[in-house]
Amino acid sequence: MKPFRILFLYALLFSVAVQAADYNKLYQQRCDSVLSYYKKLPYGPDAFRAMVKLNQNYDVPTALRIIDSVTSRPRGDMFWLYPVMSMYLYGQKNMPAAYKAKVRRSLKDYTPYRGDTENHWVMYYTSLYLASQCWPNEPGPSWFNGKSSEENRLDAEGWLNYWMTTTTTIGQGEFDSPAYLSFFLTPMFMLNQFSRDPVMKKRAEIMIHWLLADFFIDYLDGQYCGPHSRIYEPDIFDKRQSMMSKTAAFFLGDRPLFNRKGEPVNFSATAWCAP
Amino acid sequence: MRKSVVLLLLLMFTVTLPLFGRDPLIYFSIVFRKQITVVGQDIQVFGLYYGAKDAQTWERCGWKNNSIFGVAVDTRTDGQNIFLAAGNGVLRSLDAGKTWKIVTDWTITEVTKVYLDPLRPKTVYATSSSFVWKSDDYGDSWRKISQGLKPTSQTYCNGLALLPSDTRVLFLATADGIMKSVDGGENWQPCGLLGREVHEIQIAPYDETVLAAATDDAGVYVSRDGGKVWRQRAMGMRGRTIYTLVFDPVEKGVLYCGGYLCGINKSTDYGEKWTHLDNEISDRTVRSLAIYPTDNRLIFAGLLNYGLWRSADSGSHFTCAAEPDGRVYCMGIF
Repeated sequence: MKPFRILFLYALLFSVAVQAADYNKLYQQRCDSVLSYYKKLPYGPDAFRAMVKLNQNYDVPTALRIIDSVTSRPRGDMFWLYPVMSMYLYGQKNMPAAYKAKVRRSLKDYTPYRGDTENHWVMYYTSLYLASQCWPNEPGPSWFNGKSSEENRLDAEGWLNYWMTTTTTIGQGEFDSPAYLSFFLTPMFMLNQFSRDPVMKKRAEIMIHWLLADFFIDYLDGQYCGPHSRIYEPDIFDKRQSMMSKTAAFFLGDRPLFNRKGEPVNFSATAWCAP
Repeated sequence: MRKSVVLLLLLMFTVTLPLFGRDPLIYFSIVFRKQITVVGQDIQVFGLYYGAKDAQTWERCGWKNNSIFGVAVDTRTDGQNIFLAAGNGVLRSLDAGKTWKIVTDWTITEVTKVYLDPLRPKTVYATSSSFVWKSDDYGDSWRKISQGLKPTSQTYCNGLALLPSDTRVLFLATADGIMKSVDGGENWQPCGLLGREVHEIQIAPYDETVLAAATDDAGVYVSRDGGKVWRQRAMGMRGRTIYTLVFDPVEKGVLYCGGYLCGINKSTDYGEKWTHLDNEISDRTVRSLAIYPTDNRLIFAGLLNYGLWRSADSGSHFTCAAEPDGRVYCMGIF
């Protein structure tokens, strides 16, 4: 009887392993599909297009034109800072030194507002943390806020640690919505991949698991069914088209991808795969 | 003998230097413009502006889209050192606005006002949406001063008033009344108007026992005994939500106030009776008011969505002086 039990257990574990492998293979296919779509997009002042083109080493001249555009005429706030740092980090392997210098110079000359909600701050401080890591030991006048690299790192690290601790103990200040998970999740993907501090890297990984677990309990039968703290019209009238329903479809593959533009690009470029 | 004369001359020069300094300048901030910008889109140019009392064009300095809610200029440095209360924290410039540094960390944001202690050159106070903060080293480091503040009055601190003769005495305008400290903010005690949101407190420049408070939905309260007793003073006033008020520095008892869609009201008897000024901004929302120090007929008003306005005749008539589509949130003359 005992050998039979052991055999059954092995069979079960094998089955789980096969399913996980299948999941990761299919997830990677979805990522590749999004990247393939994005890398062929024409010029537009969109840092994510440049990010994918550089990441995939495809149509680099257009990517460089985009870098020129987003660094010479910065627009906006953390929604400028976060894409620019994504572009730099995911695309740096194929980015010429002169263009890296343009990105760096824009972080001296242009001060983006840090925003006024929790998801804004996650994007802002993650970008600031990684920027201070990319260009360490530089004095205050070389940064947009007058703080040195070390001051910026400490500031960003302080906020990120505070946010992670608060979120995993008493919950998020910004309640769940049909639209905003990506703005918390994608910075954590970036932090997990690029943080050189193993503790911060691990913290980001834990936050990814925490955010996904918190999200998937709100997802049922192809649509987001959780709280609606911040909403837009489509989230109400066509729940299967909400940003979160699409995000779930991208992660789980339980429905076809509605479109490949938008949030999935931030997940696709990362090295993350489900544990 | 010669050495004594040189020393005497040096002393006279040092003492009289402020008298020969530049004319006071008007500083004001635009926080957004009439046309709202959606987060993520390109943001219009706004931030800190300054100019002379009769300026036709105004200088803008600092970052392109800085949300500034308070300004303090160190007149001891001839305007070189400027502090800003901003959404990103407290900002400091030591070169008249050419370069800036955020001198606070992530724990201090949504700063509502910033104050320099005129008697203690290194002391700076900042009020914020969470707590009051103090720096004893000119902004390099900050600490929370909240001993005695109730949770409700910690949540939104709108501004301070420092007693000119003893700047350790502070009056704090909060979302839940007025708090007072007699030890530079180390300890706080309730000082009236509990349950009322107080937007601003002013102390009469000629009598430190006279205080006035601008409140939400309850007009103006005046105290004639240093804050012990507050009386509502709203007779004849248009509007109930008052954001800002200012004492005339020369004419005793004269007080102006402005608020939500009510333009400017004027009192000549410490608020006992008010007259609504029927002028070009009489139905506008007034966020800030200031009287020019050397000419008490010259009044500046910062309007929500309509820019900075100037009156040369004690408020009878106003003309737009700058940025007609700007939301002027704060103003100061330094």
